[in-house]
Order: sequence, then C-alpha cells, then structure tokens
Amino acid sequence: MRRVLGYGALGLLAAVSLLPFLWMLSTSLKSLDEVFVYPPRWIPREFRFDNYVTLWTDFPLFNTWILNSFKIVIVIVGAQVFICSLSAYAFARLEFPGRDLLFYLYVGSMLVPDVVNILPNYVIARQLGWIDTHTALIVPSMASAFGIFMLRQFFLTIPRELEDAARVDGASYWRIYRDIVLPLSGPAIATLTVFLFIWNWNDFLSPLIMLNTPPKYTIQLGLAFVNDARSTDWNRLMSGNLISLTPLLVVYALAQRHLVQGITLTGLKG
Amino acid sequence: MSTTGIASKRSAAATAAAAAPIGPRRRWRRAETLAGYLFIAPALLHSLVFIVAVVFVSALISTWDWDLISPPEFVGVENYTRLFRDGIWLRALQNTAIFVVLSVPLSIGLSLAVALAANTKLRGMTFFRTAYFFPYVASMVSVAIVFRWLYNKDYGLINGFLGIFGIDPIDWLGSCNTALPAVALVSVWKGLGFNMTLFLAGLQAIPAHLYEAAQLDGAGRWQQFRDITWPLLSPTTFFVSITSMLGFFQTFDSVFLLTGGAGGPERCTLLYLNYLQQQGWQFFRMGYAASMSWVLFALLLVITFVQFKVLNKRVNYELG
Amino acid sequence: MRRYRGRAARWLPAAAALVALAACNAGGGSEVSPETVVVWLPADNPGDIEVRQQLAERFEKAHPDIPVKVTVIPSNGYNEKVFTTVAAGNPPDIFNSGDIIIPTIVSKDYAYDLNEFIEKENYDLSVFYPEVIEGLQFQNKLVGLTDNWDTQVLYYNRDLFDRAGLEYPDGSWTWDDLRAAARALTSGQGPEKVFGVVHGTWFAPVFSAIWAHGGDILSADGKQCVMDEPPAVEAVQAIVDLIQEGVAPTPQQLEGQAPNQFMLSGRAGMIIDAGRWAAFELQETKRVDWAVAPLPRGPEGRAPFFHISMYAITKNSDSPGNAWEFLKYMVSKEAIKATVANQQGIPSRPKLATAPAFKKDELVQKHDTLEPFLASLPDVHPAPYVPNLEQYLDSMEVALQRVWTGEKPVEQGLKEACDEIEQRIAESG
Repeated sequence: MRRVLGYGALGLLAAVSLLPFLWMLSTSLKSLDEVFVYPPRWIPREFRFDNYVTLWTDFPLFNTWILNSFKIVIVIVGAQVFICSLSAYAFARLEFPGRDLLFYLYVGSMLVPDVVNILPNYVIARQLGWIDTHTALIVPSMASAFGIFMLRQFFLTIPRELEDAARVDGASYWRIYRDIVLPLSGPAIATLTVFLFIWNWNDFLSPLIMLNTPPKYTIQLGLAFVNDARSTDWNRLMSGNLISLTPLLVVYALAQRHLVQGITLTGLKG
Repeated sequence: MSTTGIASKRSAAATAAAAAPIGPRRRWRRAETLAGYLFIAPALLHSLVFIVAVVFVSALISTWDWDLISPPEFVGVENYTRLFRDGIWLRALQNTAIFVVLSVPLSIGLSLAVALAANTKLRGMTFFRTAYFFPYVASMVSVAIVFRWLYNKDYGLINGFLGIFGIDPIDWLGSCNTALPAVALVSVWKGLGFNMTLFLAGLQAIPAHLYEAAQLDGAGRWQQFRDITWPLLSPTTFFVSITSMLGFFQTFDSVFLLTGGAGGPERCTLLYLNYLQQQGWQFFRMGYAASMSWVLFALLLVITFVQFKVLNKRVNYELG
Repeated sequence: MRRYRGRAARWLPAAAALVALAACNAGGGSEVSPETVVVWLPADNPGDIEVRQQLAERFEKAHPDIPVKVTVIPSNGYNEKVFTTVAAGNPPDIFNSGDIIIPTIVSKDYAYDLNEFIEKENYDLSVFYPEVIEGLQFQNKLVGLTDNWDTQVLYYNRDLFDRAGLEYPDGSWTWDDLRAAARALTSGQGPEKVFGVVHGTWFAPVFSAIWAHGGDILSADGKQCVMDEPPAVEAVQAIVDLIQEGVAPTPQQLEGQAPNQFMLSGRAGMIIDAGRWAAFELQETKRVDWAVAPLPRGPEGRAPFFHISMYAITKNSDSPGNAWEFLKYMVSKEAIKATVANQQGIPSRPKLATAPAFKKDELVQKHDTLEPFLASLPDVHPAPYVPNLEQYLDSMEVALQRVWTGEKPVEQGLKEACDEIEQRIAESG
C-alpha cells in the first residue's frame, strides 16, 4: 500500500515535470495551423515528422553544428573538472598563506552579474586573436568559481583519516588528490559534469558574439535561425529544441550511475 | 576593489578556519605551501585574465556615460547617485527582494524533499530522476507557453480546478498581487532539478553504516533524518542556499517570457536583472547598467557574508 | 580503493590531452584584412545564409579587388552582436538595421552620409520609391539604402467575410467600416469564439491608429509627449472600445499568442498587427483563405507605420569606399532579383515591384500581398527619429497595460505614459 502511494506521488510529480516536454513533443509533430489551437490539443490530428527532417534539409550544416557543440562542450568539461578539482583540493585541504583570501575572492566573483561581461570578454578575445574561433568559447570557460566552490564543499566532507593514513605512508599531495580525493568524489564530479555540459551546450550569447562563420556555429546558434525575423515556426522550433536537449537528458541519465551509487556503496568497502 | 573588503576582515578569516578544521593556526609548511600554490596555479592564471580583467573593465564602464556608440565620457559616481533617484530601479529592487524571499526557502525545501524521495532504490528511479530534472534543461520558451496556459484566466487548468470549489477565476499573471508569486513558482519549479541534483550528490557522501547503526538502535525515519541526514548534509545545504540566493537574485528569463521584458503588469514583476538588461542592451546606457550590476554585487556581498557567518558555523564538515 | 586507481590514472592523461587540444586550437584567428567589406545581416529566414553567400561570391567575381565577408546572424541576437562589436571598436563595415533601431543609429550619427558617394558619381536615386529614400533621410543626410520596404496592413479571412455576406475590405475603408465588420464577424463563445478583429497593442499598430486620428507621439522638437492630447486619446479609445465590446480579444484572451496566430487557427476575421512578414507565416496554413487590405482610414486619413530597414555603412569603417561598392550591389537589380523570394517586404525599386516576375509570386497571386501595400505607400509614416525612442516605447507599454484590460481609463493611461516620457526626456537633457 505504501509502495502504491509512493509511486502515486512520484508519478504525479513526474507528470508535472514532464508537462512542457509533452507539449514540446506534441507541438513538434503538428502542422503550423494546429499549433495555435487553444487550449492546446495534445495529440495532433496529423503527425508531421517533416518538422524534424526539414531541419537537416534547410540547414545543410546541422550535423556540423551538433559536432561543434560536442567538441566545445567536451573540452570545456574535461578542462574545467580537472582545473577546478585541483584548486578545490588545495582550498579544502592544504594550508598556505592567502588561501582564505583567494577562496573568498572566488566566491565574491560569483556575485558579479554577467550581463555586462560579454563586452570585456569580447575585447579580451579580440586582443588574443581568438575572434571567430572555438578557442574564444573554450578557454574562458576552462575554470569557474562555481566549480571550485562546489568541489571544495564536497571535498570537505571526505573523511580525513584516509588521507592521514596515506600521508603516514609517505604519499605526495598529488597522489592523495589522484588516488583518494578524486575517486571518492564521483558524485560531485558527475554533478559538475552534468551542469557544465548543460550550461555550455545551451550557451547562446558567447557563440553569437564570437563566431562569424557558419561552419563554426554551435547548435544553439544554428537553432536560432529557425526563429527568424519574419516568422516563428513553433513546430520546427520545438523539434529543434527536442533534438538539442536529447544529449542533455542522455548525459544526465548516464551520470546517475555515478551520482547515486557513490562511495557509500563501494568506495569505503575496499 | 571591494572584494578584498570581506576577506581582509579578521572575522572572515576566523570563519574560514572553522570551515577547514585544521586546528589552531600553525606555521606554514613549505612543501604544503608550494603544493597549494601549484594546485591552484592553473585556475589562478585563468581567473587573472577571465575574471579579474573582466571585472576590472566592468567597474571602469560603471564610471562612464556610454551608449556603446559614442566615445565614453567619464562621470565618476554619477551613475551610482542617479540610481538612488531612479524610482523604477527601486521598484525592481523591491520586487527582486520579495521574489528571492519567496523563492529561496521554497526551492530548498522542495528540492530536498524530492532529492530524499529520489534517493531511494525503487524500480524505475532513473526514469523519475531524469523526469524531475527535465524542467531544468527544457527551453524556457516552451516552459513559459505551458505555464501561461496553466495560469490563463479564462481557459487555464488552475482556474478550472479552483472552479470546482466555486472559486472565481483569478488573473494570475495579469494582476499585481499574484503575478510575482506566480513567476516565482515557475522559477522554483524550473530550478528544482538543479538543486535536487546537488542534494543527491550530497546525500551520497553520508556513509550507509550510520543509518544501519541507527536502525539497530531503533531510530525512526524522522529521527534518522534529524540526527544523520540533516547535520551531515549541511555543507551541501550551505552551498545550495548560497547558489540559490545568487540564482534567484539574477533571474531574468522567466519574467521576460511570462510577463514580458517590461515586467508587466505595470512593472509589478520587473526584476533587477530585467531592468539591468533593459538599460544596457535596449536603452544603450551601458555605464548605468554596469553601475547597477556593481550595486547588486555589493548587496549580494553583504548577504553572502551574513550567510557565511550565520550558516557556516552550523555546517558539519566531518563526522564528529 | 585499488580498483579506482587504474581508472583515475587513465582519466587524468585524457583530461590533460583535452586541455592541450584546446590550447592547440588557438591560432587560425580570423580578423579579416582592412580592405575586406564585412557585412552583417539579420536572418529573415534560414535560406538567407546561403543566398547571401552566393551574392557575395557573385560580387567578388565582378570585383576581384574587393573581398567581401557576409555573415548572417540570427535576428534574435543581432543587436547585441552589432553593438558589442561597435563598442569594442571592431564593427562590421555594413550592417542592416530596421524600424526603431534606425532612430538610435541616426540620432547618434553612427551611419555614413551616403550623399558623399552619391554626389561624386551621380548615383541615380530615382530608381527607388521616393517614399523609401525620404524615409531614410535624416537632417538632410541619407543614412542608408534598402532593397525592400514594408508597412502595417490589415489581414482578413475571406471565408468569414463570405459567410457573413460582407464585402472584402479595400482602400476606401474607414474605422467605422472596421467596427461594423468586426461586429458582424464576431461569433461563438469560450475557446472557440471567433473575434471580428484582433488589433495589436504594440507600438506599430497603435502609432498607426494615433496618426490616422490626427494625433502624434512627440512634438516636432521631440521635447514634449503629445500622446495625451485628444486625437491620440480618441485613437486608443477606439481600439479599447473594440475590446470592451467583445469584438476584439482582451489581453487575457490573447494570452501567449500573437494576433497572427488567431488568423492561423481561424479565430479572427481581421488582424491589424503586422506588415508583410506575417504573410510568410500565414502561407503555411491551408485551412484559412486570407488576403490583405490597406489599413482603414481614420478621421485624418491613413498613416500606416513604415517598416523600413536599411543597409548602412558604419562611421568608422576602415574601407568605406569598398563598402559603398558592395552596398550598391546589394540594392542593385541583380541582387534584389536574387533575394526577392527571401525578403519579407516589397522591392524598393518600382520596376521590380511591379515586374511580372514578382506578380507571379504565390503570395501575391493568391493573397493579394502587393497592391494593398502599393496603395498604402503614399501614406506611410516612419518612426520618430529621436534619441532614446526605446525608452519612450517602454513607458508607453507599461502605462497602457491596464488600459487594454479596461481597468484604467484611456486618458489616465496616456497621461501616465507622457509623464514618464517627459521625465525621461528631461533626464537625458
């Protein structure tokens, strides 16, 4: 009985969460004149799978844009997880002069709203000769205060005894970081990976400002062309959106293996 | 720069010492110092260019009268003094304060509850977790369309449901009293998956044997939550409360798409960042917009400082 | 513990390799040579990316000494991109801007005065519609040229008119005719209700109504707001009355939908909201037989908002001469012919607008999207070319929000709009 109730509550919550998804899915399969029937009709009278196919025929570069996004995002995630985890370890575990000051400066930098920042970012990228390259998107995102702060918080929760034992055995800081801290931080790293993937995948403003050549565009920049000056084809906009967020859901589903069966189940038993 | 203010204070340093429980201060060990600098070197190098320089330029712009086109004109603190005479700015600030007060506790409470539910090992949990996470990745455009329909006065599901109990239809997004909470609810719902994921990761760090021991002692579910989960989750809760506060202070999209960039009706839902964006990119008053972002920064700094002082003391970083 | 060691060890070099890859990716930067003409255009439709590319290639073949780089930008982020680079001192040589951005550009003196080039080589402006050239003049400077123009019109549903036994609207219509037809076309209840007319409440249709009633937005010197004077009040009242009477939807009934979408789903007899761009969306439906007519006349005639966009040369272009050559090409007969299918408006050259090729276009043939525009052209009214127009539009939008719902008297709403606008005028000195 409890189980049934539990599933009922979980299911209700899932339904509320998935409402926009169902709307997107149904809209993406409608013809344009059916899109605007109000209140929404959930099951289209006539299924228009064209709305997906025409994305590729209208945009011969669609596959390139998807690949560009993957390339940029994977490099950013790899670099940022590495760089942030290094700093986070130092901030969480090592004692050195200026540590607290630097940490607070990082947290403080998260407080600056970034609406105005695109300007200085553009100027810096131009000085470095990065305009119209993916480098202009990748390098500025290779580290972040968020990543450092988040990983530091998680590293602080790792039992210190393990490290102390390793110190006694003469392990270097690098060894401790690599062989103890990182392996025990699966959930935190999976979480950061998921978020970084989503944010950078969905980033529209930076590629918009930095890139000038269609073969270098990202998926978000490309999809913006569906929503153009003279009309909004909601059905195709939604099919494009669904294609674009599929990788995000896949990444999330994959990350769950690390997210939920973390150290409590395996790590400490070794 | 003002960021140094917080950290140079002794009390902040004391808080930090509590945060990293290393015991009484001692002399720096050379190997450890060197390792520390080496570990933070890549991030430091990166932030010198991409945080410090960017922040510096933005501070500079805030002293300009600048429309992006004409050459900038240095006006000192005039942009800042002007802010406090700007009724719309005060309005936006007030709206944002209410918005944050409504959203943050609700978001933290709900996401913790969902995370606890999603942390169980029922069949199909991967599906449920992904479903709960979906709103976070869904495009705000489609979220807004669905919610505008739910909230619609005449045909909306919500009023339809309330109608069963004889409640008159409410113009949720069109009336000043309900529009801001309605927008807040959508923002909370949209961000639920984000906080849930952070809590889930935090929950994994709590060793299972503690629960096993507690169960042997005959502790109930509530007792286990109160004595184990809540205290041991505190570093995560602390992190979530800070990032949520920052996030809700900087909400932009939901207003833009639910009630329009002007924050209708009659600026009842105009949030701080909407006004900032409007001044900068629609009215081309970049200096003014930059000064707005620095005032917000100062405000957030004070709030975060208080959070660090008040909350961090209660954070348990390790098992006792 | 042990089983993790191997995994982490494999993972780290991979991460390092990625970082290295990112670093190697640097270089190959792409700032173009100064003599290259950099052109930025907002996308009107997906096909633009290729069409514009082909146009540039054709031009380069004819002018091997002038390299051109055309970038088509999503219209959604166009202004941000252009103004970021303007601010950073690295703008395109030619950009396209329209409607209310034009006041910002010209009032800040950011566009090259094309008269300089025109006088030098006796470039013939008479091949364009005179209204178009006039619309691009500002203080005796010609701030740009264009290949197309557009204006506010009335869209109507032929089937609904037939069913109600009404004559189709034409250029002789007045606001009284509009009201009468709107009443006759309204039918049904609830979500199925068909509205006689959907009148947009954004600035373009509202300005058109104000001008047609003899009112205006700002005084001639731009220092005073005159929207609270009787003719403008009367115009806004006329729109509000349609809503109050139930022949036009309330903002709540419109919630979430553009007026055009009411036409698409067959729930509107007429739409006053858009220019020719709406035709491209309506074209997708097979359900509704629709057509276009000029806006109805008010007591003071007709004054539809002139949606005009322009190609302009930036003040600090590093190769204005080359830019002028390409600009000329973009408004040439050859280029307009190549892009006409991708343009939302009417060609700026009368010869092309009335050419058989354009008349054969499906939109023109089936939906009458040419003659009503040409009939409107003598009366078109451009946006006021004043600085800070965007701020005034914001004030107006905010003050009128409760006017459209009927919660606030029209006079009071317009008074509040004017108070704030005048305050903003005073602030900016």
